[in-house]
Amino acid sequence: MSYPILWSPARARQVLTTESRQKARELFLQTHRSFRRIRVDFCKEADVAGEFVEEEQLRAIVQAGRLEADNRLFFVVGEAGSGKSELCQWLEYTVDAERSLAIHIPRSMTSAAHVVALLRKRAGALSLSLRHVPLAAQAEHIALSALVLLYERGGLGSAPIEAWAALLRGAAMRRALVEHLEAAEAGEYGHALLASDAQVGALCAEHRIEVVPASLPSIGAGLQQILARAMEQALCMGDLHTPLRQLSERIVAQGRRPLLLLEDVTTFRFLGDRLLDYLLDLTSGHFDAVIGVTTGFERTQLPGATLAGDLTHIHHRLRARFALTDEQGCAYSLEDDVIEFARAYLRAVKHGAAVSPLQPDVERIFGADLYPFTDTALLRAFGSLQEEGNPRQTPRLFLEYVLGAALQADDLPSAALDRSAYLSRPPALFRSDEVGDERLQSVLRWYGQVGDEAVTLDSRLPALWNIPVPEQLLADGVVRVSRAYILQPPGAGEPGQQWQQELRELQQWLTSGGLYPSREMLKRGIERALLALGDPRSLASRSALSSAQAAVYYARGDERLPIYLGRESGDQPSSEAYVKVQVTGSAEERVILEELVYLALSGAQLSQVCQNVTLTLDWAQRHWDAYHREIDALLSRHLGGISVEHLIWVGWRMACALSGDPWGERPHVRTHDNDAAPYEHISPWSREQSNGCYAAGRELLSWHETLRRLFLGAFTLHDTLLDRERCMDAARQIEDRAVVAKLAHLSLRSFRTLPYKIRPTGQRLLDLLAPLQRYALALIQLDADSALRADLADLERRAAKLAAQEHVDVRALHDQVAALRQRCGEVGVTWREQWDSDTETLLNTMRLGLQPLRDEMQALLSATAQSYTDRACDLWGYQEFRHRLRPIVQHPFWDASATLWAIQSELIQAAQARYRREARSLTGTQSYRALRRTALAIWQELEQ
Amino acid sequence: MSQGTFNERISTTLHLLDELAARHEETRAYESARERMAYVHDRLGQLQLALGALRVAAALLRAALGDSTGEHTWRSTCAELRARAPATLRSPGQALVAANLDLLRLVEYTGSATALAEERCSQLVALLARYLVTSSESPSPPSMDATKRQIQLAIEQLARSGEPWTSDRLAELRGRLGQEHTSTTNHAGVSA
Repeated sequence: MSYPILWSPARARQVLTTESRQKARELFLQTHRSFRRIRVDFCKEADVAGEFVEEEQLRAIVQAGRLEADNRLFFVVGEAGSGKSELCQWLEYTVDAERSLAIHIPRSMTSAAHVVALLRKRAGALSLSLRHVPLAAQAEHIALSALVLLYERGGLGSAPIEAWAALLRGAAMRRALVEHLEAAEAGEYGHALLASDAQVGALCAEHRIEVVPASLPSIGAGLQQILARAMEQALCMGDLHTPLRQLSERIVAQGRRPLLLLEDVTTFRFLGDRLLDYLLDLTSGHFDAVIGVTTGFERTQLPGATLAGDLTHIHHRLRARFALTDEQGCAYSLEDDVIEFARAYLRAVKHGAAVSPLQPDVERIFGADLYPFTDTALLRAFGSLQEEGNPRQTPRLFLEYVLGAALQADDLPSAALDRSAYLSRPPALFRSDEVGDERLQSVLRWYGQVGDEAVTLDSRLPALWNIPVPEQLLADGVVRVSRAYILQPPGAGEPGQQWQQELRELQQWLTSGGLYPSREMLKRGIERALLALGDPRSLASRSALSSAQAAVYYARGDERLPIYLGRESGDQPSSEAYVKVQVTGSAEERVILEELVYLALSGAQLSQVCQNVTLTLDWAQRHWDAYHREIDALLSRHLGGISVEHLIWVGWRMACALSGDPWGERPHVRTHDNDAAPYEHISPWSREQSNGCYAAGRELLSWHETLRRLFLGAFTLHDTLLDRERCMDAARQIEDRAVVAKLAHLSLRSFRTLPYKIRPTGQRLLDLLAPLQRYALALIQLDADSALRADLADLERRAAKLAAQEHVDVRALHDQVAALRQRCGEVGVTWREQWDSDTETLLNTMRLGLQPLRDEMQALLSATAQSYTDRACDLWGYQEFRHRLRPIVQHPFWDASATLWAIQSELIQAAQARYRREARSLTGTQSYRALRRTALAIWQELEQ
Repeated sequence: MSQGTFNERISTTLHLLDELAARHEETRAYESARERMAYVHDRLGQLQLALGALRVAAALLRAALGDSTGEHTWRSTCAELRARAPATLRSPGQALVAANLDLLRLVEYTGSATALAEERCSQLVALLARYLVTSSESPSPPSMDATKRQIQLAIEQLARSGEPWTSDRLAELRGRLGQEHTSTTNHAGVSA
């Protein structure tokens, strides 16, 4: 898209160079902005350590040395592009020539040949290494050094190393080296060795080295690296100390001090190291040396570049250390001066261009000389500068990737800035649903004024660039688009630095989907909005306010609400095993989601962030409901169709019946104390008659309090106030028998992987379901009607027994009990203490009379007969009957009576065991008959 | 549980206990009677053996001497004992159960009768021994005491066996005494 371009792109390229050295002196001085804030870390020349100085003060410090003072070394430290070259260049141009002779070794001087040539030029007749050696011999020397390096390195490409050796020793290479050395001697410091791929390709072809075109750049770089190192070794192997000392003494003799300006010590390897070693030997000469060092190099590699190998050793020899950037890599003072910095360059770019009729309007809209930028756009672009993901506010990046990118592009500056890899696109802080045109969105992002309630833009700007603006956005000459969020109240503080990045990622995801790295922030915002309505994972009644309530809770994962962001954000989608709140990121919810990110970032309240809280809450409510329904339905599916309310209702009813406190129509929420009332005294079941129900009931009763708290959470408004509506609904809807049957046949296997828990107790729902299921199974295996009939028959038998005792002689009974005790002693039965208390109880009961117990039994028999004349007894009716029966069968009379029978039984058993019953008629025995025979034989003997 | 008042039930229990106790006492009495019976039976057995020995001794004496002294002694002894015999001798059951004076009389009778029969038997054995020693043709006849022991032993065997008396028994006895005597002297000669 075309728009008014009021400058020459060629001029722009000329002005906006990467290196300050690339500009002519006049242009340099025209565009140079003073360094207003140079931090002095330490300084031995003036008491300014820890302070900021301006460039003039720095120059004064550098030039403050005595004429014959030893080497004085100054470091200028800063990130790449922070202005080290600019400062060196400025020093070269502005240094007091009567006091100093500047020798500037720029970064662009990448060849040792250039440096050696420069020094020779400055050294005059002084002898530097190879000074008298013909260039052809120097070239051969360099080629041989390169050959050695090649063998050390082990080759270049896939071709045999011998082929590369032949290339380095070849005539073509020597010619190229001689040409390079000649250019350096002639002062052509821009000359580069093997500068083009074509030159490399020709060399390879000459030596029959087959190289694919795609690999030419890497091979060329490899050759250049080897040759550069070879040149440094060959040209600087000689004694550097002597000529440099002679050079400094010669300049001092002229009444000046040599000022060595080494822009970047990292450019060279051997030469840089040797220069540094020379300068650090403070007595070796009279140089003032300003050396540019990148922060990272100084920290990691500089110590190894010196003979001492110690950064402290270097620092101790510095006269001062100046820093141009802070620890974040941001150039000091540039943010404050960025407008004027840009204005100077923009003015220089437009210098000499034809005056446009649009100029007056442009000046009014954009500001003097700033077109096509505004103050806002420049500051925003400067703030968005980044390199490899890190903020990097340096002059070079600003010139190249803000001014240069925009001025040399064909389309709108905002579009050029959007495309830049060195700029983090600022997030849209306006309601994007109000702006349909992407160009207008882009312009608003870079040029829009962000106000409390709206993002505004001079309407003439889009008009000038032919961008249509919807009517409803135009008012009083201003394009006005609502803010995507409301600013926080005063004093709340701004959200963290990362908020723009987070918002940027959100908008990228909302616009085109794809990976959303910082989606956790959006999830936090969504979570806050949803949790403001209550926790959707809780299946308790939202009306329940009891502090003692518990709830069935979906507890997958950690404490965070599980949320799935769609559009391939990187999230795993929701599944049966892991149910998540599903947010699709549709166009309709864009604004809401942007607000929610800001909500999470700012920590402010929903009402402070959301422009339309009702809308946001409605969105949240819909997602809350959908998620809640899904969780509820999932549980219900696994419960065989039983809802969680029905489960709690029936479970609580079971527990109450077990605790001896059953309810019929109207539930209660009374507690139960296991210690106060043993299970066997309160349970409707007896171990003898219904062992299944008895055992399963005992287990379930231990969950009484949990079920009570769940009931509080599901069916009450407060601790003792039932939620009448929910209770009535439940009572109306629940088919208890069916729920019990479903519970009985529940498969608990699937619950092992379901993440339902009970909060706040932390118990697993499965642990509650297991006893519930066992008890339900025992219940459905019980035939309540038959059991009732059996109980009634037993009751009638008891009534008959009771009737039989109506005319007991209590006094005689007392004596009989005493007689029994005596008999126990006779036959060896130990009389137990329990027998004493039981017989005493029995005697007392008999004294008081049995009529109350008989009445109670009769009443139960009558009531039961009346209740079940025309209908069968159901589960709950039977349990109620059992509870009424319990005090009758647990009356002490029965135990005491049983004890009395037990005493007699034991007594008789003992007597039968002790007393023998073998008495017979003696005369009927065999022995007696034998005796008689003997006696008769004697008698016969006597009678003979 | 059976119907009926506690009083009735306990009365029944106590009655049952009484019955059990009574049976126990009966059992104990029965056992005592059995012990007494065994004692009396033993005494009667001794008396029967003593009378049998007396009868055998009388028969031997007649076979040896042809004299009826022995038989006379035997018959008079039987008559004497028959005259003294208590009524309970032929039916001792009542006395054994009651353990009264009748039982004591029976026990006393059996003891004295046995002693008398044994004494009379000894007298007859002495006569028989004297005859056998004096009528012996052996140059070294057996001693009196040894002959008595042999005769007494043979009589007891015959009385216990209950076999009928024959003249062969005397010849057998005489032969046994001669052999034993010869054997005894031979041994003495050798040893001398």
